[in-house]
Order: sequence, then structure tokens, then C-alpha cells
Amino acid sequence: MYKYILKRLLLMIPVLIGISFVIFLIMSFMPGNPARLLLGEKATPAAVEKLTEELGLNDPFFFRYYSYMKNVLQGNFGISYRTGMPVIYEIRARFPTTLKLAFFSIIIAIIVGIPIGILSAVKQYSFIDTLSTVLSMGFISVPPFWLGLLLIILFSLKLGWVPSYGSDSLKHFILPALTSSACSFATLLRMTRSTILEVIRQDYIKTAYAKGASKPRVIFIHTLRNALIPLITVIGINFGNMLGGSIITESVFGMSGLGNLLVLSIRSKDVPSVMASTLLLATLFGIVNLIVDLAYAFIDPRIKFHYR
Amino acid sequence: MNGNPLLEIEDLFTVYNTEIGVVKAINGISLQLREGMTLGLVGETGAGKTTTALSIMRLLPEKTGKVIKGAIKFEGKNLLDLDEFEMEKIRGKEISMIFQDPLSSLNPIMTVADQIEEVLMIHQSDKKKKSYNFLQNSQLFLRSNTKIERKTDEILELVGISSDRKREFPHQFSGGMKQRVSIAMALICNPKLIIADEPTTALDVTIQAQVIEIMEKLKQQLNTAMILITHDLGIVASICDEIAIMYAGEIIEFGTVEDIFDRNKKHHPYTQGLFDSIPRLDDDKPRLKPIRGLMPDPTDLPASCKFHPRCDFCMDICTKQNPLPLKEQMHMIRCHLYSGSKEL
Repeated sequence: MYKYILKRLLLMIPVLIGISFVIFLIMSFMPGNPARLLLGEKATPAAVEKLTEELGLNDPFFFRYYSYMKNVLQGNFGISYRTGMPVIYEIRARFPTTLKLAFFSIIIAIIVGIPIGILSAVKQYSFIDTLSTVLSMGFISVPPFWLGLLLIILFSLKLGWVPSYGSDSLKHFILPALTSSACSFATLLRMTRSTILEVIRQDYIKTAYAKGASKPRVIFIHTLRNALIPLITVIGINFGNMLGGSIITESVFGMSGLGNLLVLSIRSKDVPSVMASTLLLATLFGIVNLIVDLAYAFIDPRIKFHYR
Repeated sequence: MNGNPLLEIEDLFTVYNTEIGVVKAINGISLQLREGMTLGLVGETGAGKTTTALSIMRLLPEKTGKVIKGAIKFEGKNLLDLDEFEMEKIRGKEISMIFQDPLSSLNPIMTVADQIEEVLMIHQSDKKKKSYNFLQNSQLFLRSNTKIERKTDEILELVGISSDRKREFPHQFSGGMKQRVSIAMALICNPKLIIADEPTTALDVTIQAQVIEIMEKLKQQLNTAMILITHDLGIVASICDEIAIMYAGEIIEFGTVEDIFDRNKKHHPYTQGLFDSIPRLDDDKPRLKPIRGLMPDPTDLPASCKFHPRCDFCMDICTKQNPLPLKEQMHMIRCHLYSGSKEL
């Protein structure tokens, strides 16, 4: 098992190198000179040329990539073109917001989505099932910015229960978390329903009933655990996506998260910021996926068998 | 011929309400099974054998399957009148079931021991079930104890599995061993009746013999009654006391093993056909004689004899009237061929 984890962690290295190369390539060949963007329209060509030289932007591409990676390996992610501060500072300030938002969203999605999914599978074709189908279809289709605005109008403007803007206290996270959980809640609900329905038809469920097991026991002990694998996959992917910045949610609620930072940095051609954020997100995504895979082994002994 | 009647099925009708129409799976079967006896339920696919078993266990698919008429009396109690709660106490404890495919009938993510112990734990909690308490009745929090563990070890050794392997998962066992685990699971509460639904169909011939041997040995040790569902006449001959031959949801012939396997006695043409489809060494027929045609469509069964379209001895009356059962002691046949005489 430990060997498997180590192997997976080592496998992340080439992935990260690949990602960094592609992002660096794209950023380098994007039109526009960062030095010009930094100094503004009115700067003299001489000043722009001087800054370009200082930033090392005149060096050949491969040399720039090499020196960037060398710095990264030494733990130096560079200075942001936009703020003039080390990139790490800004990421360190913004990352908790994104992480909290993703965490709360996925918790809401799990707490709401899985029980309703179970209920609508157990009561297939009932009123509850139809209602939950309609609701989840609705939540999948609604664009998050619109849902966010509606929530702001209702809960902040009309009722005044929660703030609409910022990310200072836990209260600030309620509406954004609801907004960004809407889609993953709906997918999780549908997934729960369909996998439970699939597992419930298996022979071993009939065996469980034949043993005299009650319905709650059959559903929670025998069915749910067998249905968990696809559910955990969905949870993992959704959580990864949310880490990648619920850019829209963050913008609507004016939260200073990683998603916002990424957009801002891309617009100002802030290569060090973009690179550092992307690498961080890719690493996290890889770790989340690894955790998901390890959870498989924890749930299903047949999979554990293959993790050698 | 000892023992009191344990299970009595009276005029049972079971249907499946499907999209293509009402499937008449069981059309008025009546049976009696005495304590400690083994009844073989024989018939081709779709004859209603499994549906009979599921009707007894009350495990028909919730939305489609339904018993519309009849009674299933177990020790004098009509199982069809019990609520789900009382039924849970009977399943696994009084009546248990062994399923056809051992590869899929064990929960893949629970250890073998957990699955066997579960039966004991569920029925141990029965005693506490007097008052209504959701947490207890939900059975979500069951605990094992040393007594249960010892009993599990015993039963595993009894079916020939070393108790060292009890913490392993089903995928680490072979098909025959899995079926032995199923047998252990079915036997652990000393049920009065075991329903074995084609327990050997999914196994190799050599393993089949092993499993049958174990089942027979345990049945005699524990004096359990058994309903053995199969289409393998060889197994029936070796283990059953009585045989019911089913066709299109009816029992068309019933008798002791001696009655059915005595080729000089009168038989239903279908039974005759079944025996003619088995290769025999002492006959030098160049070819087997199969029964021509297929089972009738269960959504559209003939009101008369259901076998008549395939019967070589079909008469006028066969297309018009459903034959009544004719009895001679235990032996019963439903066929117009013999309706002339009052007795067989």
C-alpha cells in the first residue's frame, strides 16, 4: 500500500512538469509585452525595453523555462509582475478562501445530495423521486452567476440574513457555498439514485433480505457501501473542479480567491502568478485523485488487491 | 413417511405486472412438505420454480410481483398474512434460501465471517424487538460476540472451510467454496426449511457432487426440510424424497422419487419427454428425443391444458378443458390421457 502511494506521488512529477511546460509555453506566446502592461500606455519605449531586459523576457524560450523551473525547485516562485511582491504572498492570502469555499460546497452537496438520492432510489417513480429529478435538472441547468444573484437578492437584500460581499467571516461563505454546490449536488443526487438502483438489483441484496435483514439495514449496510465507488469518484472530481476556482462564484460574491487571482493574472500576463497558481492547483488535483483512489481500496477489498 | 406438515401451499397464484402485460407465473399450485423431507421442484426455465420460492420467502420484486390468490402456511401460519416485520423474523431463521449463482449472491465487500455472523446478529436482535424502537429495528448497529464467532467457526468447519479463512472476502474463494459459504449462511440458525434455488447450476460437475453431498449430509444431521429447485434429474434422484414437476406455473405431476422414476408407471407426457431427453447408456437409440416446441407465452396462456401444443398425445378435449388432478396415494398427474379412469 505504501509502495503504491509512493509510486503515485512519483508519477505526479512528470505530470507537473508537463503542465508547467504547456502553461509556460502558452503564456510566452500570448501577444503583448508584460513590461508594456506594467508601465502603462504612456511609458517611453526605452523604459519598456529596460524593464523587458530586467524581467529576462528577451532570453530564448527554453532558457527562460529552464531558469524558471530551477527557481521553482529551490522554492522560489518568483515576483509577481502585477504587484511586485513575491507570488507566494498573494497565493497564501487567497488560497484559504478557495479551499474553504470548495470544502463547504462539497459538504453541502454530500449532505443534501446523497440522502435525497437514496430516498428517490428507494421510492423510485414516487412523487419524491419525480420532484428530486425535476429539482436536480433545474440545478444543473441554472447558471451559477444567476443563481448567485438570486440568492443575494433574497437572502441579503430582502431578508438581510447574510452579507452579500467579501470573505471575512464564515457567514460570508454561506451564499457562495450554496451557489457553487448547486451543480455538484445535482450530479451527486442523480449518481446516487442510479447507482443505488443498480446495486439494489444485485443478487447479494436478495441474499441480504433472505437472511432476514430489515430494509434500512439492506439499504445502508449492503447497498450504500457497494454504491460508494462511483459516488466518491464524482465527489473527487467535483471537489477538484471547485479548487480550480469557482471563478464565477468568487466574482459574483467579490471573494478574493484563487479563481479571481488566476483571471487577474492572465489578463495582466503575470506569468509567475499564473504558473504558481496552476502548479498548486494541479498538485492539489493530483492529491485529491490519489485520495479518491485510496478510498476505493478502503471500500472495496477487490481493488485493494491490485494496489501493490 | 413421518412428520407433521411443515409447509402447505394451497392454490397459489402469482403474477408479474410487467409492461408487456400480466405474466401468469404460478397458476394454482398446491403442495405439502413434511418436516425433514426433501422436495424436488423440477421444470424448465420459466416454469415458475423460482417464483414459487420467492413467493414463499415473500421476496417477489416489490413493484411487479404479486401473489393474487392462495395461502402459504408455514407451521399452520399463513405467511401471506404476516407483516414485513414478522416476515423478517422468519427469513433466515425459520426459512432460509440458497441462491443459484454463488459468484453474485455474496456481498463482495464484506468478509465471509461478517456475512455469516450477520444472520445470527439479526436474529439475536429479534428478541429485543418487542417494543418499537427505530434504531433497534433498523438493525444498523449490530454487535458480534464470542458466542457468535464460535458458532461461525463451527458452521464453516461443518461445510468444509477452514475457519482461518473466515476474514477473507468472497473474491478470494472458488465458486464451490462460495456456495458452501452460502450453505453455511443458510444453515447457521438451524432453519426448519431451506429453499435451494438451483444451488449447483453455476458450478462444475465435480464441485456439484461435493456441494450436493454436503447439503445431504447436513440435512440429515440437522433434520431440515428442503425444497430443491433444479432442472437436473440426476440430482433429484439422488437427494429428494418427493418430486413436483412444474410446467407453465402448474404442478403437472407429483410423486415420490419411486413414483416418478419408475418408468413402468403412468406419467404425464411432459415428464415422459423430460426422461426421453436424457442420454441413457442402456438404450441404443441413435438420437435423443427432445420435447418439440417452446413453453407457451406466460402473458397469454391457454385456458385448457398448457402443454397441449407440444404434446404428442394431444386429444380434442386437451384444447378445451384444463385437466383435473388425478391421484393415487402420493402420485398425482394432471392429464386428460388418464381422465377416463377415476384413479391412476
